[in-house]
Amino acid sequence: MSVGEVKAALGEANRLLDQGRTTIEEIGDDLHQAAALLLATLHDSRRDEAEKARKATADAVREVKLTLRAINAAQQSANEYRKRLG
Amino acid sequence: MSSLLAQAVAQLRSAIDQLDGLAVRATRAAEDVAQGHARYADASRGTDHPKLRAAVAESRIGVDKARRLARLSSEAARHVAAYLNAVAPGSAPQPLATASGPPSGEDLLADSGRRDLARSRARGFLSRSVRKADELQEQASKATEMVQQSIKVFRNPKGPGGTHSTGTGTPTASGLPARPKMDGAEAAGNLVVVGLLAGVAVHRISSVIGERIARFRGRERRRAERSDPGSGER
Repeated sequence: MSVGEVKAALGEANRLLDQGRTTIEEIGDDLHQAAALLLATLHDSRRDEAEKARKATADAVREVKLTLRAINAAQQSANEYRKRLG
Repeated sequence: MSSLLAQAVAQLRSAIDQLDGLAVRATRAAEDVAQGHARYADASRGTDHPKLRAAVAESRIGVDKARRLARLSSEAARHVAAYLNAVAPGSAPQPLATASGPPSGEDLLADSGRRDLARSRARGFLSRSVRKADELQEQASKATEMVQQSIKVFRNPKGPGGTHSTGTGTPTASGLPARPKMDGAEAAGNLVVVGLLAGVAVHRISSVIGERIARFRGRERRRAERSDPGSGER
């Protein structure tokens, strides 16, 4: 792969990760709303299904952060490499 | 179904739809990140630079995390659906729910209505409640209708009364299943619900119902007393 091709691949990857991040950020906003609605409606219910729903939602909220962190880290690393290519 | 329970059901259904939608979107995001990861992997071929290797590894984590997000979202949706089915089976209008139905509905209402709904959604909730006043009234009258029907059954356990009295036991026997039916389903499903919105009003309704039952019982007792000599004639 030529330097030009590598740069193109990095640029393409960067764009794809941007796209992914935008989607994940939107998901994060909507997930917060859905979680609030859910927690309000399930509030205090000790039913097994309610506990599981709360846990899965809380885990999903955390996963949003972890996904964004991973995407940002990947882009940052790639950008640092990209700078070396000139 | 009571309007409050219906509202809680609608909210949970909406949450299910949202979570399902989020799962789809998270899957799409994971695909984007996966393609990005593939491009990093392409670029890293022929070089062993740590930064590029890190980008490959981190984007891989991003893919996994986005997929996990998708999975958790649909899992949450499934659990909410299971909860909904447990507390409001089929979410279909079931005024006479199974024995486990009413307490669960009560729980649901206690959860949503009394606490968080009252706090975070109080305004919209209250204005909607006002709009639903007519509906509630209708439900209250339905409950009353039901009581009247129960009383009819009670009164005429075997068709029109008066032709012959099979005894004093029969009406009481048919009355027993009728009353829990009303107490359980109607009181929990309707009266408690109405009570959340208008405790005083429902108190009056239930006292009216109680009165009717008391009055009816009294009547039944009198009737039984009258019928005793009748059965003696046989």
